[in-house]
Amino acid sequence: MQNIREEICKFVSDLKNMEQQEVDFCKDLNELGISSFDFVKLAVYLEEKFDVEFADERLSRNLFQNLADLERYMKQLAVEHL
Amino acid sequence: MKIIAANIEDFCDADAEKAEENLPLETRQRVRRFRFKNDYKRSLLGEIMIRCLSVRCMGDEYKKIHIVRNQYGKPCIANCKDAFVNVSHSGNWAVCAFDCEELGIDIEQNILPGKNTDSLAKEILSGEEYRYFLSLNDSEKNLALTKYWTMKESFTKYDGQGLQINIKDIQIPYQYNRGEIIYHNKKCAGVYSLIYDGNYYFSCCKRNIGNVRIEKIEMGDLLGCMEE
Repeated sequence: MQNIREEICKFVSDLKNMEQQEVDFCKDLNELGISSFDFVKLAVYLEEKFDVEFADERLSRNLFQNLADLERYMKQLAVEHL
Repeated sequence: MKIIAANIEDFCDADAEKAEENLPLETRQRVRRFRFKNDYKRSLLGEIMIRCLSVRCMGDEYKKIHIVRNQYGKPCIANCKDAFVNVSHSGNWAVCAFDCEELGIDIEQNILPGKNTDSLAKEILSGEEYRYFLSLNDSEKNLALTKYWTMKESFTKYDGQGLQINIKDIQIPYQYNRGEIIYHNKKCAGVYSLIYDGNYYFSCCKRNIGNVRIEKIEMGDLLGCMEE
């Protein structure tokens, strides 16, 4: 499960050109500068990395306040996938 | 319809600081929450552009323009039923549109991960759109997906609910740069899409879409309008 956090950090740090340690999981996604399109790209990246699938209605940045929310949802998907 | 674009590379820190002082407190607090300077500048620029374009188009004083947002974050001009604004930003550009009809705009820089473009397309496109997308070659796919996204996002912004609606349910004129948006089997609006500054796609959605032209606005003109 630790990998989920690492992969989120990896994607966001590449996207925002920052160090992985700087990725703030509690900051609002909008305030982190993650656009709606960035969010869908991140979701697809995680889907491929962890072989899970977001429900279509969950592919919206507005449904997640921050990266911690996304991490929780990913963990839930990963457990369901077991 | 009037559309202006401003480049954040022309927006220096001193200008940003000065411009911020002319915004309402709630707006200043919102833009200050951004973690990264460029996100802050893009957002700040968007706020300035909404107000300045409204001043230009309505001939009103800067201080008399009040921008409010609906529950999904869509900006509108308070106490004005026949003037509409919308804003979008990506990469180096902030874009703002004003019209007497409801509208939605979106701009996206064409940066896509080459590896999972097909997977991304599958999440965004309807069945027919996706089948057409798969027939494109790799370089066409990247550009096409950025275009399709801006078309769909401009509709969600026109509609005013943002991405509360399922993006796959929005059917776009995927083979063309201009056409009609169909949502739940109903023609809802027109959309016009164009390449901007070589590496960006811009789309505009409104009920009756005509020709679309984007005017690049100089920073001096933009900031000057706040002082008039």
